[in-house]
Amino acid sequence: MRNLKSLTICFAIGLVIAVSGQTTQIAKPSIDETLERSLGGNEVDYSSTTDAFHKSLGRIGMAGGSVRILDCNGDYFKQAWSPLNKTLRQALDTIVENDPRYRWQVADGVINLLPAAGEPAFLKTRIVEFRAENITLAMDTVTPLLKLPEVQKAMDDLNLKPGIAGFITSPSRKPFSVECKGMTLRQALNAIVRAQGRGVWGYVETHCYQQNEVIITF
Amino acid sequence: MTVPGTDISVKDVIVGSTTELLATFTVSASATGGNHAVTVKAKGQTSDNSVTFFVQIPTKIRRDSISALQNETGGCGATKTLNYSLLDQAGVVISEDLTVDEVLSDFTSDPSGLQQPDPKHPPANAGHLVDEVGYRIPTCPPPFTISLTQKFTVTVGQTTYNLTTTNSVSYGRDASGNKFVTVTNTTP
Repeated sequence: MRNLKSLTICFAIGLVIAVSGQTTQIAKPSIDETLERSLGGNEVDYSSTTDAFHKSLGRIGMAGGSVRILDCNGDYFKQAWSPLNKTLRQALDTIVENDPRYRWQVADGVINLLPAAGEPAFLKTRIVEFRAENITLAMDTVTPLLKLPEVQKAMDDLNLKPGIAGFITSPSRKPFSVECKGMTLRQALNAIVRAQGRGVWGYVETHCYQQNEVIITF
Repeated sequence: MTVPGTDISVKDVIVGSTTELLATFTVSASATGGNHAVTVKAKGQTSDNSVTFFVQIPTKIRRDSISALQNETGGCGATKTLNYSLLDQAGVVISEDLTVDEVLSDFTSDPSGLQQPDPKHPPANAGHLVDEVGYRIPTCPPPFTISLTQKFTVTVGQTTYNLTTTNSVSYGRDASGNKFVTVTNTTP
């Protein structure tokens, strides 16, 4: 029996550039090398756990994504975030030590911050096919993703609705493309930020009274 | 070749031509911003202090442009694109590639309970920074307004600089279905 993973295909095309008529593959540091990089900076901030995660990745331009599950009380937990003399790995370890509701992992070539209790069912939705070509703003993939029939069916099954995805973000300098087949929604989000190069997605699922809402941002 | 004090060290001095010296200047993280006199000693003679080395301190970002409202294709969102330049204390563009950290605060929403955007960390490539501000949603929501304050920091080595620029950001959709994104910039 073939492993399902072998059916998963995703082409991240953003790393290939044409130089003088030739195609050159940009050499990127490995995840392990990136995890040992120093963050830099001497500030001390009090941040939500996901903000601390986004700041840590953003400080060195590492791609990734975070998952947050909220109830009517929101998330008022704040932790001290201090990058001074910390590698990315040390910063991530500190974040989850301070807030054991979360764990971090390397997945699909990027870094994810997930609830320790498990990944939400919606992110496990399997996408038949998704393609975005020559885009510069990863946010432009959100509505097309949420409009996929299999994603809309999953939202209906889970009684979820899309919320207002507000953002202040920076477009990629170079257009990028992504094509995903047979992968989960989380893997697709990872593929998009990997193709973009340095983006971090955020997934927020809120359950409050009868409102069950999902917001995805980049 | 020397620079007085401990802020800047000079090494690898070589003669480039009869009128040129080449050297490597290493600036400490705690260096004072502004002009630092550079002195050259040769054959018992000392140069005057007419040549200086300027240490740039990231100080503010200047808004260069803001686009018209752009409607989301295939959805009900809207955005505006803003172009900025990262400036030093003398108002000169810092041409290094640096990362800007955006700090968001004073978040309010009507109705209450809407989600605050995640703060991002865009690159300022050669001092040029682009922001897209707004929202995305597949179908049109009821009227809403989200407001927040956006500030910026820049980290160079181990030092983080708070920029003086502040944006008051507001976006939403009114009762008539009109979308809006406003970014009011204050740069002292």
